[in-house]
Amino acid sequence: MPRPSLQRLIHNRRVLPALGLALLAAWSQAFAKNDVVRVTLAVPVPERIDMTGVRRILVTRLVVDQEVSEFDLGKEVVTAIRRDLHQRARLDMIDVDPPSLPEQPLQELLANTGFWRRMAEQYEADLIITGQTSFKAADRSGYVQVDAISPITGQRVRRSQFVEREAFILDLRLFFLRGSTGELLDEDHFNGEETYRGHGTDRLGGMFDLYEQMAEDIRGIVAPGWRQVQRNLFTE
Amino acid sequence: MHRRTRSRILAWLAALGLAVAPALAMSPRRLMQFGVEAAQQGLWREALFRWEKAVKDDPENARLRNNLAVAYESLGRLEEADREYLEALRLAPDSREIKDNHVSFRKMHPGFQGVENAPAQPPAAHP
Repeated sequence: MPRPSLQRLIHNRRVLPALGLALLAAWSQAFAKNDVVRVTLAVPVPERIDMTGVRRILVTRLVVDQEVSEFDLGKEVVTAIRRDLHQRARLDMIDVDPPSLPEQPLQELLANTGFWRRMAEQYEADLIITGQTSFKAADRSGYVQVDAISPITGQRVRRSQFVEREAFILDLRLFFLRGSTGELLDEDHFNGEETYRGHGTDRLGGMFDLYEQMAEDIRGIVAPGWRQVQRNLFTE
Repeated sequence: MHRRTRSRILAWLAALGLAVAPALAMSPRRLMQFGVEAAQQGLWREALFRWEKAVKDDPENARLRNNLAVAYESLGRLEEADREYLEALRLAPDSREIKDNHVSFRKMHPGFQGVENAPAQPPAAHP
């Protein structure tokens, strides 16, 4: 018996409806997830630590891993924290020269609740923020692929080009302590990197840009905020 | 009462009844779709109102419970959102979409860890 060719099968009137049904089934399988839609919602997020009774907040000097020659890193980061929490979270930041920390490993100091309690009493602080920070610059120069128009042929050509780039890296570890008890309430680690074209970008400006990237997360520890999130909704 | 005034009032009531009747008679499926349309326009209170009504008629519908949870979450009613996500997962433990929603919710609100065994309750009435 001769095997039916594909052409003969397609022209067979009994085969066509079956083929149509099979295609329809495959199509509905492929689009079976059409009953789900993704929506973006702004979700109110409560602060991470219990801020009941917290009115006055003190930010201490920070432990600086490696000093930066162009500016006082510890002082500038403290300024950024205070300004952001005051302006955007409406928190009462104690406006004093940030108290220094004794030369002692920070983890040991954090366990010394008496030290923090005394500091809180002295400054009448309900919450103390302390931490450790570092700021580094790194050379990110290298060859990149660029598209250019050839002056000879007028055509678009791809070629390698050496580009000078510089990256700034800000690392910040923050600790939040309750003034009345000296206990550690929360801690978090923030890290950001930004690459700039050329050398000689203002380092202080770069540091503030990087702080700005992490500011919302830092604020979220002590103040309620809003976050954009995506969720699945079923339509049927 | 004057006959003309009375007939006018009756006409108004009839018109009002005609307008409201379809909404009252909506099936859970239609309520669900209506809620999704509202949610897509950011009208979360309206969506919540529809889905709460639908869940009363169809309490074992995991998909409805999921939508209800999302609405509660968007309105900041986090305990109710978590409870509805858990209920949705109890009804449909293999649903990837519900799992994704709940995992993301729990990441944002770590305070809700460890309440998996909380008893499921009917959704609270719309304020």
